[in-house]
Amino acid sequence: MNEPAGAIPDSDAAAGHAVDCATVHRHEYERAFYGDGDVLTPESSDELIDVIRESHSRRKVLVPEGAGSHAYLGVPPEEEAVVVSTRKMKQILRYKPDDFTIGVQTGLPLVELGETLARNRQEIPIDFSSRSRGTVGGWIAAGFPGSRAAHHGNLRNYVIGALGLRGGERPSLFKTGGMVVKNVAGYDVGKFLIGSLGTAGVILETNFKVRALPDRRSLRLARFRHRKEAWSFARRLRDPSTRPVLLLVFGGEATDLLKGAAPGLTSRDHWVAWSFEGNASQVQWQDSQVDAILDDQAPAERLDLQEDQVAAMRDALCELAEPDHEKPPDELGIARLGVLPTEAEDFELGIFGLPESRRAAFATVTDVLTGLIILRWRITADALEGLLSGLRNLAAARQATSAILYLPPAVRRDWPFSLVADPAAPLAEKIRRVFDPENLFCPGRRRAT
Amino acid sequence: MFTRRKQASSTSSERPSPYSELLEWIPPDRLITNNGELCVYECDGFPLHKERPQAVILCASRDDVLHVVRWCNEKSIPFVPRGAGTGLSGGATPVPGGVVIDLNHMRRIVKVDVENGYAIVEPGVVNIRISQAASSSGFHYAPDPSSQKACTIGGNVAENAGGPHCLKYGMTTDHILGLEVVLPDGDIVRLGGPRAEETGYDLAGLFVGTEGTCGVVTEVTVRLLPSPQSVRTFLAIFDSMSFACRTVAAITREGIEPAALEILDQLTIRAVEASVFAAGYPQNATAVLLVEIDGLEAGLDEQETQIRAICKAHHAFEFRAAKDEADRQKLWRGRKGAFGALGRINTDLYVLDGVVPRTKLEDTLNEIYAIADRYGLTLSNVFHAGDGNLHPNISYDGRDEDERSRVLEAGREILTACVRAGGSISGEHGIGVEKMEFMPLLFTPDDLALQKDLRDAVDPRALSNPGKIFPDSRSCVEVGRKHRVVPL
Repeated sequence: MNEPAGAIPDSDAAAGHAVDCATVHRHEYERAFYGDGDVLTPESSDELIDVIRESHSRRKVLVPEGAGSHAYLGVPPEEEAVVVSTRKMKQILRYKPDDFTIGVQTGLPLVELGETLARNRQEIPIDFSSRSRGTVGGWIAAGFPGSRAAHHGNLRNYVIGALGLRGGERPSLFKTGGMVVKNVAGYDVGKFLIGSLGTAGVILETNFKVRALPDRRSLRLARFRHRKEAWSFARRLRDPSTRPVLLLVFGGEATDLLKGAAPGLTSRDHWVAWSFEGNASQVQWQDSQVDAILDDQAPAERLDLQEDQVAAMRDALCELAEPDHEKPPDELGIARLGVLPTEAEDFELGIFGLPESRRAAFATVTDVLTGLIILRWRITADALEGLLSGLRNLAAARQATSAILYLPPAVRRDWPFSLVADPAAPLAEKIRRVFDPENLFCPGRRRAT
Repeated sequence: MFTRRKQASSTSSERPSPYSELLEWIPPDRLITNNGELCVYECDGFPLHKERPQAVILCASRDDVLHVVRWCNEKSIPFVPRGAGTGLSGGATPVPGGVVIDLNHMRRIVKVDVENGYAIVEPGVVNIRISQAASSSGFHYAPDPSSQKACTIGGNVAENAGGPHCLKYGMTTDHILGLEVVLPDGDIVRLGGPRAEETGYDLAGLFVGTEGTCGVVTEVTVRLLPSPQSVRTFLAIFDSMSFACRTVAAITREGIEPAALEILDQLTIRAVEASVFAAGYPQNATAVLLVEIDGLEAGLDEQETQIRAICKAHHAFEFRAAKDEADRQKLWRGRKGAFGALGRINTDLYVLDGVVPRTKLEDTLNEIYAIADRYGLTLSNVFHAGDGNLHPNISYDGRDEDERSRVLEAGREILTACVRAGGSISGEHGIGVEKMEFMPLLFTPDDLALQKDLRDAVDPRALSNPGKIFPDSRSCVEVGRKHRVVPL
């Protein structure tokens, strides 16, 4: 094995095990946040424990990652950090399709997880891009909601067990849950790990429950000239007699970002996208219900996506919440805001009513079923503070939840992860310190205002 | 804020109670200190372990709970939150020297917002009342434990309760959007909420299933779902438990997502049919499989055809479809009344709650029946076949110490068998005191240490339902101690 170098430049080989380092491809924001050094890539939990112990003895900040594809999330540490990757721990450990469960090491590429399940006509219905370079661990740690969340839930509904490593004087492995879909033995520690952004130790293995792929899946779009018309149509689709698994409103700049997925998506008018799943009869019936509504509302255009376009559109929607990994523009910012579904239309108007909207190229995609809004903007540095202050005030006034997903590295440390304070933050920190007593795992990464 | 009340006597007229300080805030008719009434609270649905509380405080509001918890902190008195007391693992059993915080008077449905898919309720609201409150708008609350007509949402949150329909819709934790919790130190905190993407850590998710060891829930925000457009319920009848289990596997393998898949064995069937819960189950059946599918009417014909074919291929000798809602309710009455019906067999019933991977159902059931035979016990099975959650039920005479001892030994072997099959010791009833000793079957000392550290972070003084879940030195229940039975 190689001698460790780079990430812990002033150390000897990690006690007991020599841990590989790798010169891995680093995104620009990763280099900005964590430097250009090597990444430690342990191949086993024993090696990982040694890394943690060594880093703790030197009071080094630790940044766990998989492939680093979500390194842009949260507030980077002020201090120099040791980046440790689980990318070499990437086995599928337990998979019995008939049990509808799978257990994997978290270094497993997401795409490989998806392909393995798809071969058995199964899925975890939290979409990720087929172009993703991310790992299962990063996916869990980021905890992004999927576009089908209203119907299928989020990662918290599919993680049934995990193996993690917590810090402290004696770093130790811990297990939570198991490999059965119903299990109330002990605390549901896995819930705390989802979305933890590496602040609760290292996640080494995860067990999921899975579901069968639907027989049929439709994805259709309709274009409206006016925002009000689009929202009126979308509200009618929220009627429970049809059960869309996805229902989004977008337009303007967002269309530019999505148009690569569907050739007909050219106009920057207001679009509504919706999807049904089920057996052929269910999808057909629901489509016919919507056809009646479409005839009534008379959109300017209708698009029915073919199977390959459905996949491409899902990829594009996932990527909307992420920066261009190779070279994100300097003026790019991405936020995710959440309101009640009945408040979403008004909140979206509030966003476009901000004074900075005239200077920023806003792109919004609003999930009509959950009230979640992805907001992207391009704005000059001098206007950024005004924009974020405006968003913060808007979120506070409307009791919205918020997360700043991406800011340029030059300003990232100036802004918190969440624009709105979480009153439970002190309790959360007390609990987090159980996993990280030394406060060395990505300290401050989830900082709220 | 808090209103001091005129000091008055409690329901005990015999002697001044050390708890009479509480009368400054709690009216006398809501403070129980006399032995005759306290014995009602000695256990929950797990009667093998009993402990008489020092007092029971019937809280009617968040402020009541705050007062009591803060007072307990001041006096270093442990407390146990309690709903309807229908729990089956001793989670609501009092602890030595402790009091019970009864939440049944907190039964307001504060808000129902079907447009946004949530409701806010107090912890003493009975589970089924939530669906009743939302039903006129075409919505319901999905988790449906068999005790849903009696159990409370606070207890459901504490245990992460399940029910037959959690096969399709998920457990309680999948339907809790937010909680208000009085922490053991007397602080009050709101976790989560109804808005999408609450960006803090999922503290509400962590709190669900902590069995009252991390404070007292005073308000719950639950998810409401649109009620299915159509429901179809079937009963497939088999002369072999193996055939029934294989049918379950085949149905799920087809990609069908039933709302429920429940199996009852012959002993259970006969008990049910002799009881007020009689559902017309054929008494010559070795096993019956209750299948329910729901959703858009448009897709159900196809699913029904598939299910009929699968049942036939797996040797169901009869297949019935509920003709109407009354028929459907009758079929479910039998299933949901099964535990009550089993009370006919003997004076006591020990309900186990193991869970195994679906593919291990058949083998594990065979092992369970063999264990019962070996111990000379009367054992029946009624279970959530779709998710591998078994409920072996042992009928016995609790007055017979030898039989009681064999019951406990058999229970240990059954849960060990479940773990050996890759499963767990509890699918939905919780650990409480009943299964504490089995936790090391699933968790290493380091695993348990993390969970205990989490508990200690929230409750460093061990006041909130101590001595539950984790077998440790702080436990008020000694590991391995024979359960004390209080005679009637």
